[in-house]
Formats: sequence, structure tokens, C-alpha cells
Amino acid sequence: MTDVERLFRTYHATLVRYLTRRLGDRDWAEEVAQETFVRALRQETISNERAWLFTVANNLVRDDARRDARRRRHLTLLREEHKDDVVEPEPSALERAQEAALARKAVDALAERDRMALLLREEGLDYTEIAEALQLSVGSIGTTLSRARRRLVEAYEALQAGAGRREGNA
Amino acid sequence: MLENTAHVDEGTIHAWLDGALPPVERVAVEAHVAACAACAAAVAEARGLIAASARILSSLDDVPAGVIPNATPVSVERIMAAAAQPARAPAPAWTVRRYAPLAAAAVIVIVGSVVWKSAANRSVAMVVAPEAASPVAKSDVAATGGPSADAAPVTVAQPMIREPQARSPLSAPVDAGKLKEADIVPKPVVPSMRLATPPREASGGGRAGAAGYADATKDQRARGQLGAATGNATNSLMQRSAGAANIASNIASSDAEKKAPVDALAGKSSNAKLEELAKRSESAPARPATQLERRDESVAQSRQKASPAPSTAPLRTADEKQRAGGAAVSGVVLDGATGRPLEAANVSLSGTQQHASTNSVGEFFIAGVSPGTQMLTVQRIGFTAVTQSVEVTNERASSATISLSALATQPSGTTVASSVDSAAFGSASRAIEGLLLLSSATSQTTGSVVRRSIYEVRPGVQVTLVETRLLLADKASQARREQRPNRALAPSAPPPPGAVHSTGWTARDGSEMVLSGPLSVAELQTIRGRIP
Repeated sequence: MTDVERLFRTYHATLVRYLTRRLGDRDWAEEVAQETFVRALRQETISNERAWLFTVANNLVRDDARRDARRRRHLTLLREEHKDDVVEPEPSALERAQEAALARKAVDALAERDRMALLLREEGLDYTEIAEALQLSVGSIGTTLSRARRRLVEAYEALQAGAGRREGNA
Repeated sequence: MLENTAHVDEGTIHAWLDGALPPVERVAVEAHVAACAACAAAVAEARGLIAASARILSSLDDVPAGVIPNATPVSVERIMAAAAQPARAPAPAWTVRRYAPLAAAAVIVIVGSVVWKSAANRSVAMVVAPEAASPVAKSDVAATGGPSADAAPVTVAQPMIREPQARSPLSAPVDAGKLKEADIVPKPVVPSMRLATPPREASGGGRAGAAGYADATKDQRARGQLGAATGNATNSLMQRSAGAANIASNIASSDAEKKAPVDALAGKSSNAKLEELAKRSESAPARPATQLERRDESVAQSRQKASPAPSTAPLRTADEKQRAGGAAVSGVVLDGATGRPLEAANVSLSGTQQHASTNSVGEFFIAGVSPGTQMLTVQRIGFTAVTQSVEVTNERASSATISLSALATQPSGTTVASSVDSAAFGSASRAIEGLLLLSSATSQTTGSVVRRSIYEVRPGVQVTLVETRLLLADKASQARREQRPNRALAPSAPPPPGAVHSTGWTARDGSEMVLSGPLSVAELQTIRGRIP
């Protein structure tokens, strides 16, 4: 059981980051991460910890997505509303926000499997772990990742070019 | 595998760069790339793609949390609760705090049976009445036609389907409380429904209002009761009763974790099965459509979403215990720092398999405990485990109030990429473009987590970045910070010697940032602009 404490210390950061990147919703990400560790608390033995945690988190996300797409739309609306209230005095913050928005779009443009593989890889999972978490064969991970990376960068650059054009016009 | 003459495909290049190729293949790729200009170019491109996608993805981390206005507690609090202390929403009026008689005791403990008083006085009281157990036991035995303990897991599940309507009033309020859109749900319904049910249980001799699971384990209860009634209660019977109680509590809590794929994956097929059954029974009863919908929505938010309704699990377990005839231990787990109840703490009895989780108001209940001095161990994510002894007798209530303290502060000066780090800052140390990160240390106090990172601007010149993240989801202080987003903070440690300047601001994630060093303010602000 103290194992869970160790798990939490070791993996919480990476799990939240992964989920935040994947979901674009920090609150949701933290909830899922929390729930994942609660599951771990109930789990007697976990063989491959990292793969287990990410798999459970993925499943929780999938369940969430199935159940409450509507709720999330609501949250998105609330967030959008809130965005208008937030004062962003610093241009650097604004730029960062724009970058993040572009990145979000680019990531969302990826196929689900590609996106997940890439995000898992970014959290340091090795190919075996990614394969386990996504139910893919180890041999296909390289291809999946190369496709994901290429498409992400291309999408991002295309969006950036588009944003630049819009700014030029304005 | 690969021949030196065959070009290397992109996937293999990525696998190679990711260090994921088996040795033989790796050597072949290395050899080929060294000799083939086209493939060398492809490798260079792949490196670029890897770096670029990592950079793009890292810009996703800057997502503000806690942005949902006026909702039920935002989940930052929950993570903070796990990391340090529970920051719960203001307790709804009808939580345990309102129940003056109960709260006065702070801890509920019963040996024997539990009787729920009428809801009329809006209080929940538990009365110790060991003798009351016998008639109950007899009625149970009569109803089942005799004990048959071996069928336990099966009988646990069946009543859930048979009597779903008995379950729904209990579980519905819990779920309603989880709603983010809590304001939409008519709240008065919640406590009244919840409080209305237990008296039925009591008056009905344990049959009328009993939730399905209670029936489920009646065989065990009956056995336990028979043993108690005849004065022949043995440890093994108690253990069995306790096992039943544990199963029951698992099921009772399963409405919050109807996530079969997870459990299937976790290899808990039997649990998954039980949960599946629970799920079916829950969706079966004809309930108002809106409630059903909201319920489904709320499930995803998970039960820890500061559901104001106390989880029914320990209460049912108490009911279970009523018929079990053994001693019991119950109590409440609190955060030592704030005195707030801690949910989802794991309470176990040393030397046994008996354990329980605390509900949303921090209560736990373990039934079928052998009399004597027992060691209770309480564990919770983000807290130091505590072991405490408790005297268990058959005569009187055994109770425990256990305070947990947040995990020990990390010694400063060391580089830690800890959960504290993660919980508060969402990532390991911040990389600042063009600066070398020398060290990063995170320390934690009651209300905040502070990360102090030292960067080298150029040889001999270092700047210190102090990030302070409040752990308490203190709305007032959040509001204050929002009003004064650029409030400069004094660094909490003496800055390095020399002409030191500092600049402070509030990061988008809510952290208070202070950058200080032997540089001009303008230089510091230049660096600040590069902080992701």
C-alpha cells in the first residue's frame, strides 16, 4: 500500500501532463489521474506499473468520453466564457496562449491512436509499454510514432502559417 | 532483418532514435545510415520531427486549471488533497457536520447493532443495542431457510437485481451530489431521501428497507448471529462475517466505479462481474429520466468530486455489522493540518485482511473485529501512513479518530522531481530557453508548495526562480490574486549576494513567480519572457 505512495510520487506528474495534453482540460486530467491512483490503491499487484497506470487512465478517459460528451461540451462553453474574463496583460502570455491553441488544434487533428502513442512516448514510455497500453504490436509503434510526429508538425506549421496570414490581413 | 543495401523506413528510423530497436537491428540501421546519404537525411529529418513534436506538445502544458466558475469544487483541490491536504468544498448543510449529535462524538462506533433514528430531527444517531441483533438474525434465518455460507459471492450479487428499487433511494442522492451542475438538482430531495431510508431498515427488522446487498450476505449474517445468540461465536465466523461485510462494502462503493474495462484489465474479473451486476441493477429501476441522465453524467466525474452526500458504503457496512455479532471499529479519518475529513483513505487492521475505505466525510467502519487490542493502519495518497491502536470490546463502542499529516517536506537543496512537484506544478522543472538549470528543489508547507530553481545565466551568474503554488483552493485568495496579478513577492529565502533584483508575477497556472538574481530588472524581465 505504501507502494501507492511511491507510485503517486513517481508517476503523478507524468500522468497529469499526459492527460492534460491529451484532453486539453487540466481539471479533467487531474480528476482522471486521481481516479487512476485510487484504482491503484485497490489493486493488489501491478506488474508493469507505468503501462498499467496509463492504460487505466486511458480507459477512464474513454469511459468518460462515452458517457459525458455533453457535459464536456458544457464545460468547454464555460471555459470559453471564462476566457473572456481573463486579463492577459503580457504579450508573452498571449503568445504562449496562441501557441498552445495552435498546438491543441494540431494535436486534435491527429488520429486518436497516433495521438495517444505520441503522448505516451513523450512521457517516456518505451515501445513495449506503449504497445501494451494501446493494444498494438510493438513492431508497429515506430511507424505509428513517425506518422504521428510528422502529421503533428505538419499540421502545426500549416496552422501557424494560417494564423500568420490572418494577422497580416488584420 | 535489414540489409545494408535496403533503405531504412521511417518507422524504423524513429524506433532507432527512440532506442527501441533490438541490438541486431540497431547495428544494421547504424551501418546503413552511416553509408547512405538519403537515409542520413531521413534520420536528420526524423530528429527534427521528434524535437519539434516534443516542443509542440510541451506548449500544451500551459492549461489553466480551476477555471470553471462557481461549480462544485474544482479538481485541483482534489489533487492537492492527495498531495498535501484535502481542500474540500464547503460542507453542504447536511453532511456530518450538521449532525450535531454525531459530530459531537466525532466518531461513530458501534458494537452490536445500529439503529437509525427518524429523520424528523435531521440527525443521525447510532444506538448501541447488542441484544437487538438476535431477533433480526432469526428473521433472516427464517427468510432464507437456513444458512448456506458457501454461496456467498453469488448471493451477494443477486439481490442487487432483485431489489434495485431498494437501492436507488440510497444511491441516488450520492450521485446527485456529485453533479457539477449541482444547482440544477433540487437539493432538498437529497437529504430527505437519504434519511428516509434507514429508519425503514431499522423498523423492518432489517428486511423491509434493506438494500440488496444486505440481503446478499444474510447467510453470513445469520451464521454470525446464530453464533452470537448461542454464545458460540467463533473467530472463524467473525472472519466470515467480516468477509461478507467487505464484499458488501465493495459493492456498495461500486456505483461510483462502474468502469468495467478498467477492472477487467486489472484482472479483477470477479469484481468486474459484481460491478457489472451492480450496474445492471442500478440502471434497471424506473427513475425520473433527468435523474438518470444526471447520474450518468456525474459518474464520470467520479465520486471524489467532493460529493457532499456521505457514501453509503460504511453505513451499509454498519448495517451489516448489526447482524454479524462481532465487535466493530469505526471512526473518522481527518487531515491533521486542517481537521477536515479525508475521503478514500484506506483503513486496515494489522494482521488481518480486514480493511475499509473512508467515505466522503471520512468515516470508516470495519465489522467482525476480534476483541482485544487491534492496530489500525490508515493510509492515504499524499499522507504519511499512521498506525494507531484501538481497544476493541464487545461491550462498548470502539472508536478511533485518526489524523493524518501530509507527507514530510522534502529537504530543500536537493533536486527532487516529486509528486509534490507534479501536483503543484504539473511538470518537472521548468526549462528556460538559453539557461542551464542547476538545481530545482520543491518544498511543501501546509498551504503551499514552493519550487526553487536555480539557473545559470552565464558562468558565475545565477538567477533563482521561486514558484509558489497555493495548495488550498482558497477562493478568496484566488480572487485576491486575480485582482492583483502582478503583485511582486518577496523571495522566501535570502537571495544570492550581490546587487540582487527581483521581479514577480503570477503565472497562468496560478503560481506566484519570483525571479531574482544579480541582474538588472530589465535583464530579469527578459529572462522572464523566456519562461515557459
